Amino acid sequence: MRDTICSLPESFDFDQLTQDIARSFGYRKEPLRSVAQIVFDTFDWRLFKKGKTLVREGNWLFLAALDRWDPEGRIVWKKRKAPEFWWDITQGDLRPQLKSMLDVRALLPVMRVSKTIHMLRILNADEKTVAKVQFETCRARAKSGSSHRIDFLTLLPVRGYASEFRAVQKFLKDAGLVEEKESIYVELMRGLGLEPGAYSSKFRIDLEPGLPAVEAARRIIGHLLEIMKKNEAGLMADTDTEFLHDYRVSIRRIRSALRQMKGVFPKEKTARFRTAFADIGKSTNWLRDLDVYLLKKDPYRAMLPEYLAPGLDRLFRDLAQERNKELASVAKSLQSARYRKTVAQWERFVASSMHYSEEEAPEAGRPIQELASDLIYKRYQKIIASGQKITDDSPDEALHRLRISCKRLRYLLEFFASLFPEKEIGRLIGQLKKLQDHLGDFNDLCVQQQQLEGYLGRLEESREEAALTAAAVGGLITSLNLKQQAVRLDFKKRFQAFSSRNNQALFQRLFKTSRAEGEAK
Amino acid sequence: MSIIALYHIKGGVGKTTAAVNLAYLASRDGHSTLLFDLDPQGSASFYFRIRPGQKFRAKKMLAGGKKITGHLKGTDFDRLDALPSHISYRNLDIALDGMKRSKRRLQEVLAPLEKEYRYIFLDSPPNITMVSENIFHAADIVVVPVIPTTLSILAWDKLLDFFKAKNLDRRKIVAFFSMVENRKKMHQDTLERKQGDNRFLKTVIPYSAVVEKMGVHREPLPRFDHNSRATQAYEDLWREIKALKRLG
Repeated sequence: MRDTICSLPESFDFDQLTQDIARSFGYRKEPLRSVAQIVFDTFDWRLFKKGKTLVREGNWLFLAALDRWDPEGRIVWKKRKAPEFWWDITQGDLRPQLKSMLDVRALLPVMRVSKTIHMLRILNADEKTVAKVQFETCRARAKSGSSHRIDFLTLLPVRGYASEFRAVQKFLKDAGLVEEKESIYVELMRGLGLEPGAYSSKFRIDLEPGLPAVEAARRIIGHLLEIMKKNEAGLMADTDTEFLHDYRVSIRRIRSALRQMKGVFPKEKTARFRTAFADIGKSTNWLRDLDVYLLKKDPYRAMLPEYLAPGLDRLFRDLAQERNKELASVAKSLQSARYRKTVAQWERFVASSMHYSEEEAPEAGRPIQELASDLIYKRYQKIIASGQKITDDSPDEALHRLRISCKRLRYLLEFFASLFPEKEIGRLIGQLKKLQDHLGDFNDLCVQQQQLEGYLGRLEESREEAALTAAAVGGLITSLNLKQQAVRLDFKKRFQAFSSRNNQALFQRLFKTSRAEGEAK
Repeated sequence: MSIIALYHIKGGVGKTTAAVNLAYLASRDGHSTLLFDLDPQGSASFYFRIRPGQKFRAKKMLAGGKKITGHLKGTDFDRLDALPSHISYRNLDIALDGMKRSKRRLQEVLAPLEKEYRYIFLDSPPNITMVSENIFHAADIVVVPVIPTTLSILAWDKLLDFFKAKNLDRRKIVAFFSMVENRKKMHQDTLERKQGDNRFLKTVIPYSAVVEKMGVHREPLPRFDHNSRATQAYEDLWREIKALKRLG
């Protein structure tokens, strides 16, 4: 038994339906009720993607499946301001549920919904409610000002009265009402012109195998530019830390695409942009590092004994202050005329359909599948060759270079995923990701230690609590260093998994073209 | 999950009315709540207009698990379910007697419901039997309505003795004065005597004709009578009970 929602024909008349119901069932009409709701989700629709929605209704906050009225978890929320992050909720089941779905993302209002509800209780001989029929008028408004209205009928079951529920269900069906499969919330969002689920930080673009490489590059970069721009507002408003993260990933992908797809554009046309994007990327490095630190507050705390906690608090207060300054400076540069001009020029460049001669851009006309195969295969061979050379005694730098090389391969696989069999690409990306996570952990541990050392150097000795802070930071460095060594020892095993014979054969089968073979000879 | 039992050794003291009203108030607070009617008289079931399913019997209830969940009924109120009683419950003691772990049976029956409900209210049958012992084991608190008369106080003292004799946790027991008539001198005197006994909750439920009307309306008191002293008193009682430390 679950809620049944029926869409209504133009001619629907609730009073008429009520009269018809009265002929078959005992019923009682409830007074008209109106409710106001605010529907929340994250910028990247994390709740929607799990089939959920978070709704505030008066002093209630509830999580519900998108297609059901009955909330799965609810808490009292009396504060005027709605919670922004899962950690703002301190009580009840909602906290762990939201934690796993939202992670670090903030909740944003998606739409406001006002409903009026006429309810009929269907009664048995004891005058006990055995089902509820609701005629609901829903008006939704988006932040943009657009609005949308849907009228519908809901049949709600009461536990333990299945046969009565089915009888009413049949009655409604016989009355010509059609069960609606789509969630009302989703319909309202669509009606408002919102595209639930549309934004994703995952790169996904469809390319045709025969597309000239220059066209493919324009599409890939154009798409990345769009993602980049979509994240600017949230970044500047400091809604959550993922805006900056996604923004930076887009820039890195753009730079990687330009760098790796050599000869697709004339070199001198992209040189200026490459420098500009490198600068933009760099200007946000420190802000991202600070975000990463601040998100690590709890794990850092767990690394240290309790009596060093005050020293750690000092460190985090300093970092938070520094972050505020840094955010202001990044926001300022994103609003600068120079930045806006660079982005606009770059958009025009990517949107143009200029033809280049073979001398200017030798790879421009090559079918993209061929070029993609070559690039991926060469990059893979490089990774295998340099990875195999790494021993327990190799310098950290070697792992660092391998990490970057892997990242380049990952981007290539993602850019060109649509050109190859989905299942196999998925498998390769999965395996690569495991290796990348490992190298990433190693790198994070190195960088964290370096930066903590830097912080130690800047710490003024005269300051209160300086000794305690220094002790805490020293403790962290030691603990991080031990972890780093453990990760380092694990490298060989991880790399062996990635460079297994099976994996090498799969790369060869998917990406080795006749041209690559010719070059190898 | 918290299990709250309403118990008294004899009937007619306001036990079922309290169970019904408190369970309703808990659900009104937004908590998923179950009222488990263990009294074969089935008064709580009557108030909620629910009847047991055709195949529901005492033995099924004691089997627990799916045998129970299939027989839960939604009341007319959001988030409030009930498990109706059955006349066969009058022989619950006999059924329990032949079972292993016969004193903890109810506790085991309730365990799977833990996930679904924040509060479970048990409306106990009168008498002091194996069923009562099961209830005393399963409940986090045992709430006892006491009419302020000498005999009632005597019964209350006996209950405390019983807990002691059976090595049950006496910290579980709380009492409140029920059906109090201010014009009766004995009521006033008893109330006075028990002042300062911290097993007694502060709220006093007055004797009231409105409460009797629950049988006509077949609804919890706050549904049809918002402002009477009795309704107020049940709301106070709930506030006091949910704040008890034992309920977490």
